[in-house]
Amino acid sequence: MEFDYFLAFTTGLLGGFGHCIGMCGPMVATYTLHGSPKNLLPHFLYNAGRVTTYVFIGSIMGITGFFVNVAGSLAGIQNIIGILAGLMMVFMGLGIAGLWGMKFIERHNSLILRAAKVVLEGRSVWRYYPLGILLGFLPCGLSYTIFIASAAAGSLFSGMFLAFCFGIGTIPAMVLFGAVITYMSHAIRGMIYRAGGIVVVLMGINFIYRSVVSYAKM
Amino acid sequence: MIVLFIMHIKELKIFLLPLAIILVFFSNSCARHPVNDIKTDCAINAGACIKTIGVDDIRAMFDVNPKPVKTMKELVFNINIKKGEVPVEDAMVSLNLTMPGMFMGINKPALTHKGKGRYEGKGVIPRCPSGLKIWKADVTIERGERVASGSYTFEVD
Repeated sequence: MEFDYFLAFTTGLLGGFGHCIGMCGPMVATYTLHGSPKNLLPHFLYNAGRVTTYVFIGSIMGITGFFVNVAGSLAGIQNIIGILAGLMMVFMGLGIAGLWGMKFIERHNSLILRAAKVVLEGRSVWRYYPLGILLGFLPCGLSYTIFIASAAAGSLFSGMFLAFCFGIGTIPAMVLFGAVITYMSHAIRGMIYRAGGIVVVLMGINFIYRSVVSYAKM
Repeated sequence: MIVLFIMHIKELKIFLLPLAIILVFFSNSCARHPVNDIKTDCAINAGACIKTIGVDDIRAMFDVNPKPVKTMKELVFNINIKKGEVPVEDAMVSLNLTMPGMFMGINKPALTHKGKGRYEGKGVIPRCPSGLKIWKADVTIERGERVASGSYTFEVD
């Protein structure tokens, strides 16, 4: 079993650089560009949130022993989170590009928009932790494979610890990616920076598209 | 050339961020190679696929049920092995499921011998949010010190 934990960690480590940057990278780029965090703490908090979700799902898989049933129950939630993440990226991207500000939220003061304002405009660095928890639910083929192993592990602790080892393994790639984006976002300003905002909007639309297609196939 | 590069490094930086974001945007997570580059050699939804593998002329028949084969569903993987017309019952058979061109973790459903050369195991093929559906099953057959392997590339629903 110890070897399985090591394997889960290695899967996260190797998959982090190829797979996770492709999947979660757009969101990391989005919050980095929008908030321009000046140190690595937001990146660690975001990733801690993501690992918290993996541990939660891994423990459910472990205790129930059924991947398909649990994954089926989570699929709807995951697609909704995918759509919300995409919308958030669109709003943030428009903000980065200077095409849309907080005035819209102030005018339309609904609960969801107020929640969005906390993420988009919040001052506390701790807001990156719940953001990570939320986005940890995003559908991901690589994490599905680990959750299949968690379900096969046959106990709460084994399932939870497998998911934890995997999540820890993905952190180096994600923090490194976040650090590179942080450095570059401080190195540039002006028109090109705003053009980056438009790209973020396009990434958000891609997130929404993927989630809607996945929802339609359920 | 190098001096010119260093002189203009500040100007070059402004291109790095959009370039990095565009690269991430188009990396599409699960899709590292163009879909057209990946060819299937097993129409799994039409039935079992048979291949002759190894130097012993072992015929391995690979099948997945229920059909159509879907992601995120419990699937039964079957591998029937024969040498000539004789079932091979003394082999250690393993199955490794991978997505061509992208690391999707280690997914090896455990197979057990059900008699008459039929090795069976349950497993799940995870869904890739990018929409790619081509998977590869690597079958390894160990008989004593002799090891033979073959692969089946197929598309799931």
